[in-house]
Amino acid sequence: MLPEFGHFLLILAAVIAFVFPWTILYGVLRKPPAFTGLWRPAVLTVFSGLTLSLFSLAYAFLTNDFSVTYVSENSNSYLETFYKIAAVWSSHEGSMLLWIWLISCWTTLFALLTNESEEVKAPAVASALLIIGLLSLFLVFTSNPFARQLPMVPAEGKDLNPILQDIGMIFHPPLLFLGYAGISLSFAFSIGCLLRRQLTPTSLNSLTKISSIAWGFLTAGNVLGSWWAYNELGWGGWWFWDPVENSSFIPWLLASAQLHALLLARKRHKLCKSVLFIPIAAFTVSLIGTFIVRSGVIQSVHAFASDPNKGLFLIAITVLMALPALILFARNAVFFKGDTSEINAYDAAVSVAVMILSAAAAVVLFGTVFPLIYQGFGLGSLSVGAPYFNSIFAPLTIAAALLISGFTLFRQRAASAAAVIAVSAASSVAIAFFLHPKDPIMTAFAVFSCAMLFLSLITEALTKRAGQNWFAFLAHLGIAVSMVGVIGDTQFQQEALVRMGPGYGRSLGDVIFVYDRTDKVDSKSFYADEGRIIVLDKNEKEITELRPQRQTFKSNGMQMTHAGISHGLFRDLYVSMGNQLSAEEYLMRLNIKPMMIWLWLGGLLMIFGLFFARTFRREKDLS
Amino acid sequence: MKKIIYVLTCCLALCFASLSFAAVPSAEIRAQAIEISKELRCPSSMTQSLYESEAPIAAELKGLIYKKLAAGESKEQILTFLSERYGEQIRYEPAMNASTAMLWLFPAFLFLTIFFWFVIAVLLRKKLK
Repeated sequence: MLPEFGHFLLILAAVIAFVFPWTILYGVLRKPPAFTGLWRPAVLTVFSGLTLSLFSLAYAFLTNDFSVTYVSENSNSYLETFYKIAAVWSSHEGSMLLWIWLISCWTTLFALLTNESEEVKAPAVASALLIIGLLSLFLVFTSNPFARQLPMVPAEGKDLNPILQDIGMIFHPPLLFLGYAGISLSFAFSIGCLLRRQLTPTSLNSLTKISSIAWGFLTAGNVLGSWWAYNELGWGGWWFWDPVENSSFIPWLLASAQLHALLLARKRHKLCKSVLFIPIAAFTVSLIGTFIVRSGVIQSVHAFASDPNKGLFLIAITVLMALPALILFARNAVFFKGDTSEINAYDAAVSVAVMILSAAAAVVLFGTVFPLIYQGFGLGSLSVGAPYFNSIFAPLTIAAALLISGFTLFRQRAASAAAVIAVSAASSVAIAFFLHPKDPIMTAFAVFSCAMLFLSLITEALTKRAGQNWFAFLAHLGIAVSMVGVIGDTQFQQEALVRMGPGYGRSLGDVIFVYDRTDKVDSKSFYADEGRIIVLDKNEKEITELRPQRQTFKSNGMQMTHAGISHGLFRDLYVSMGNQLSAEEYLMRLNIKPMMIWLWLGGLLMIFGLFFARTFRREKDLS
Repeated sequence: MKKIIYVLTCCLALCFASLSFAAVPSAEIRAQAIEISKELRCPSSMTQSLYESEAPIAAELKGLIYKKLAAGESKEQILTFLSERYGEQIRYEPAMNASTAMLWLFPAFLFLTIFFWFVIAVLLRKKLK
């Protein structure tokens, strides 16, 4: 009964969210405005409808209601309780419902908590409701999470995808969806401004709030995703440039561009058209990303819930939302005249940042869909993956770091600038030519730019008077810290692929990995062979003990690896168990990864910067 | 008799030569083989690179890469050989040719545009003043 209740509420929310906005938008454009107050009951009904709908789905999971297809496909009665809750968003139907619900959460919070005027709220909320309406209709018609399989009710469900049975995976999707939902709201807000042909300082502040929160969640989602990949996937990588990763990276790049653009819009009243356009682009791209994830048109590690038919619907929805938005922008952008006076160095610097981040987003998007275009022209099939993107992003990141530090040093005294450059050059030469990296030239450039960025930011923070933008400081510092991790991993990591069994040892770098024994582990959802690897230093003194696992899931026999890692501030020792080669021996991957953890510390620093800026040192709202 | 000894010696030499090939490849070749295996898609599990994949075919191909490197073939030769055998899709970075040139021209165009905008808008305008 309860699933039908949830289904009904979903339909109710879909219809209200799809029908009400037209009346509100008509009322907003009428002179004098009418019906604008209608957003209030609409948004509240939609929000409560979706909330109860999501709860009834969660309830079906908690009570093992296997008559609901989605529940029986993604859960079983042996699953731990918190995995049952995570299973709600483990596949297509539930994760879409979560996304839609989160958009309604953001919209409700925005509508009730911000001190915008009614005229600003009404069109923005109406546009957000339209997004919710279209997506929920898509859900109801193509992928209803409440569909029953009656009368053939299975006695037991299948299983939650083993890949998802990990704490990191429980939080990674909701964080990203929180980010996407924030982007959806900033899209709606920008549409609202375009419709009203007005962008007041208060609106700019609201847009900044929405965009920076969305950016924070996207950052957190991506950082957590890569942390999880590093710990679970068993080959020591942390970023694949997989199409689905790209589709969460592109919105992040655009959200970053938006934060820079908003800075100029608020402080100097420039780039007013950009701050309205970037949300449209970001939202469109996140829809295209959903299409890539769900349709399975491009091979991807994340394609565990794909269906070509849904793809068609998603393309239709993308066009239905993006096209009117773009036409509206093309028609009404002329009404947003920013300050057209001469630009100064600060304007130029921030504009370049906006352009580079947007261009980077365009490049990732182009590379991701290129195989589709190529196929579309009948040229055959090809793949665009990590080596291509790395060859573009490595120099791009170096250039970006140099630009940031250049613009930062520009405002410093010549003497301190010279000192920063000298120290960076010296450390670059020392690291690149005396520590034997894999590619000395690349390392030299990377270390130089990273040191420049780090030192120039520190110099600025030490000499700066009032008005230091602490968010910018910490976020940019985060880039430098992450670069340290990337340089350490790509240039200085040592790796070996060896056959190992109890009693075998292998020296790598300055340590020795000794395979001690294999233990059998029996957990609730899997059996595992767990290797006990002792790591010794040169004098054969024990440093640490690693416990990589080779898991076989009870429900479907799927094999997963779980790397054994000893994290350290200066290096990670990493072991993962591959195929079983004989009764006692396994193919082991041994890695020493210098400075690896700095990659994620940088990400944390960025998120912390946002948190810090929003709570403790709220910048004065400039008008 | 001399001929037989000569042939036998040659055979022995060949055996030793092939034995030394079959032995553990040098560190340099190993590093190069790992690098190549990271740039290729596994033909059996399409969402993984050869390096990550645990499929039997991936192990076989990794062995092939070692052998070819040891036999003195270059990275480009090996990549071409494998993409002819398994299709262009096996390469994570497509070979550059007329039909794939856009992949590099597009980013180059974008970043050059930014560069020229910066030069014209900021540096030149100041000079003109």
